[in-house]
Amino acid sequence: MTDPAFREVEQHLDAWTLRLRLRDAFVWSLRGLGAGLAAGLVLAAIARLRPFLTESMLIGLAAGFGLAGFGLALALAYFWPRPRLLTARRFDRLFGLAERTSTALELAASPAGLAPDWLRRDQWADAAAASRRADPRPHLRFRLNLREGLASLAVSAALVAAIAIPNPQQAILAQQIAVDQAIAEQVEALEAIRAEIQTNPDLTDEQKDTLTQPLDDAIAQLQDGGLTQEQAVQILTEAQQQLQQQTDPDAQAAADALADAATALSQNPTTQAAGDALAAGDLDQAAQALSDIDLSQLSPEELQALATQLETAAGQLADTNPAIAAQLQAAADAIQAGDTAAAEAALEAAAAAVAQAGDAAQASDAAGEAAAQVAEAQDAVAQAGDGQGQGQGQGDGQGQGQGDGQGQGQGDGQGQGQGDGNGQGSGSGNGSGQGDGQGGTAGTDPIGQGNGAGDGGESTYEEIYSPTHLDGTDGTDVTLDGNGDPSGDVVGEGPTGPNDDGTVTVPYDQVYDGYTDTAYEAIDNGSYPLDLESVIRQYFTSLAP
Amino acid sequence: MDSPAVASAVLSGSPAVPMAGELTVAEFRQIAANIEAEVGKVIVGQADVVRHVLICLVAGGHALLEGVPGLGKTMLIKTLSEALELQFSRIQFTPDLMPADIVGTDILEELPDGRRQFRFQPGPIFSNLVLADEINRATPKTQSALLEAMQEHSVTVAKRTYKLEEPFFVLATQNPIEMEGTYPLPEAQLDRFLFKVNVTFPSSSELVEILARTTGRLVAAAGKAARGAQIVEMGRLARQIPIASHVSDFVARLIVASHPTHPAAPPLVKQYLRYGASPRGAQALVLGAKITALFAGRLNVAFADVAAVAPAALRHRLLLNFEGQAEGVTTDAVIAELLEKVPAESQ
Repeated sequence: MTDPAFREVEQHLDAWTLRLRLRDAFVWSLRGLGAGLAAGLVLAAIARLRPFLTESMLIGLAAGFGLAGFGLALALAYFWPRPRLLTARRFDRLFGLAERTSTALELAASPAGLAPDWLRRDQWADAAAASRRADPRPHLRFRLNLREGLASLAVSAALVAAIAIPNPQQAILAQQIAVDQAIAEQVEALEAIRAEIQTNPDLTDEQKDTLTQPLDDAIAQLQDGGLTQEQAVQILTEAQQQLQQQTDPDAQAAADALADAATALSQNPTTQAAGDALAAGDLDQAAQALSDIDLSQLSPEELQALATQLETAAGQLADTNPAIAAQLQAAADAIQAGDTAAAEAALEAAAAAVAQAGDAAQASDAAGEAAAQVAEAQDAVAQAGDGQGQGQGQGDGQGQGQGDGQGQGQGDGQGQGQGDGNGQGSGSGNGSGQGDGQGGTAGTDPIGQGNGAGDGGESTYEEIYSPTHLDGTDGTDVTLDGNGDPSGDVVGEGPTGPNDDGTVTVPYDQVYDGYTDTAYEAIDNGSYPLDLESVIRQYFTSLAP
Repeated sequence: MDSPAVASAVLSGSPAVPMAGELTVAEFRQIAANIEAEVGKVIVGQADVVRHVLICLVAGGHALLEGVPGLGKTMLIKTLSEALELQFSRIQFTPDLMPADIVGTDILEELPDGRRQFRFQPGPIFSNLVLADEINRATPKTQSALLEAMQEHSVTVAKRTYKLEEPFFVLATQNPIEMEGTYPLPEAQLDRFLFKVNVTFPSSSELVEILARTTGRLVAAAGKAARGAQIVEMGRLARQIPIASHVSDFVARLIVASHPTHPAAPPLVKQYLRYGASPRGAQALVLGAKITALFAGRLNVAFADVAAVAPAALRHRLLLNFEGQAEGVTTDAVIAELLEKVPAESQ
């Protein structure tokens, strides 16, 4: 279309359309911002009802929604399709053009012969003149509606308040996150333990499978997700118990007791290598040395001396390793009887027994080590989220030691810790005591077993929890009365020698359910503060037989 | 009425070739202004009535003026006829008026040679401008005699049809009160009037002016302002005025919404109307709106033009039901509701 009047009409329409796009982009972008912030406000409201989002996530999401709403509305408003004819109709209404521009457009699009040329020209001229007089500014103002502005301000203020006012759900959420993180970390730790077992050259494949089975089960369960802290602790407790069950204190004691025979065997040149290996704790080497003894090369005097040493060693091992002692005694007897073949066979059998003891001790050692590591993982999960507030822990520990002439000991510990954040936490711990009444250091491990093996002497106790201050420095270790003091109170005595069973007044599994039910009932009744409920549940879960 | 269908095309107009002696918009406005000025010399006020009657004349339609006695209805039409160089006749409708009194009759006349023959004696309908005064006082039979003339611009007497000279306008008046002994116009005949114009009582200042003009020494008279051919030419120009498709669509939706059974009908229509406007109503709206646009010096139809002529074009085409008549609802109120409730643009 070449008519100048019509071109002028089109130019006016283009200019007005651009202003309309800009005006709509301005108005709608602010509306979009308000809508985005309103969505953020909804999220903030939900986050106040349930542990849903952390404060930082909430701020990020609210800002993201706001920006997204702003940008989306701006883009949509600006780029929204605006057919020229429809826009012309709108401008006709807005500017009071009495349908001049829309008619002009329709005239231009109509067949040439339908209207006289002079009429077209005159109509376009009339439309152009009217367009020239139209002022779009009063009708397309860049001004936000007062009501919408107030609504946006109200939404913004509500959102800021919803974020700024302390939200109790945040503490719960932080604890959940800490627990999840701890579970993830401990899954990695369990996998590391598993890898360590798999690469242990001293273990057989069967032993490896046996040892890794509890770990595999625990890893699989922990990786299922959606676990509460109590459930995770329970899983780790079960794994730790299964590994603990694979330890054999007798095997370790037997292996240790072989050192008693090392002195006797070392005094004879023929068995010196075996004695030295036993003294060094290398039972495989000792077994090999015993197996390598060639009696045919010995003189009668040397044989006699060897028989004497073997007999002495047999006597020393009679209590701890009766099987090896019997073989050594048989070898001594055979030498004295001049039956070197029988003696060598007995020595072979003794070597095999030593090797077997070594294997058993290594497997037990590996199981114990794994159990200890799982226990550490269990501690880590149990303590996850406890540092969210200022905590004060108090723990009672009861230990049972083993050793010659030792009794049961009990120690009380009390510890204080200060962590990050607000709140008050509590913890229980255990100490292990020796039969001579040694007390334990305080701890906050809520799930310690309190069982330790002792050799009858005084020992220092491993600190399993070290509270920290807000600044990350260690807290004060509290030493309990009687720690290291032989005059400490002895609260129980009993047969605590090797292989002796302890004395139990009431079986543990008979009282556990009653105490647990009482505690859970109290929780259900609201007798405990809310923030302690998880700790209490965790405590009783960890004590499950 | 032979205007194109309302919503069928963007334009209603003639071919693009300019016609010899075709009026320009300025000339149209000048002629119209002259007519109104001449009429205004005699008629005080009633500008809307004059304008609507003029629209009817330009559109080639007929107008029905309704008002109480003494408001100058007859005077207005007589003055208009004086302002236009048209042949004017007045028919005072009475109950004993016969159709032949309007259309004419064959009379027996004696020729000079003594033979006798029938000769058609044209009635008063054979004029350019016919004033049918108090049309509702004639019997329906007589009223119907106007039907063919109004619609076909021809009359048939004794099996012979006589064409009426163009332009041909019927301007009728009726009195809304004193209905005893009257015969209200049937719907079919009402529909043939392009506009029904209500003549209202003048304001006090207008009344003072009326007294001054009619009770003094000088008697006001209107001069000639236009010829019949110019009126025809004005109508031809008006029909070329384009109307945008969405304005045509608005007219169509307005007419459709006037029917009480239509879903888009406003509540007032559904409650108080028996029948809505006919397609003739839509034609009257568009044609009236085009002429209104020309009066405003505009070469396109606006929504405002449609709204301006809607009451006159529709008020006699909407039939109130019993409830509407009993409650005194006027068709003007219904039309106002239609204009308010029917959106200018379809949703």
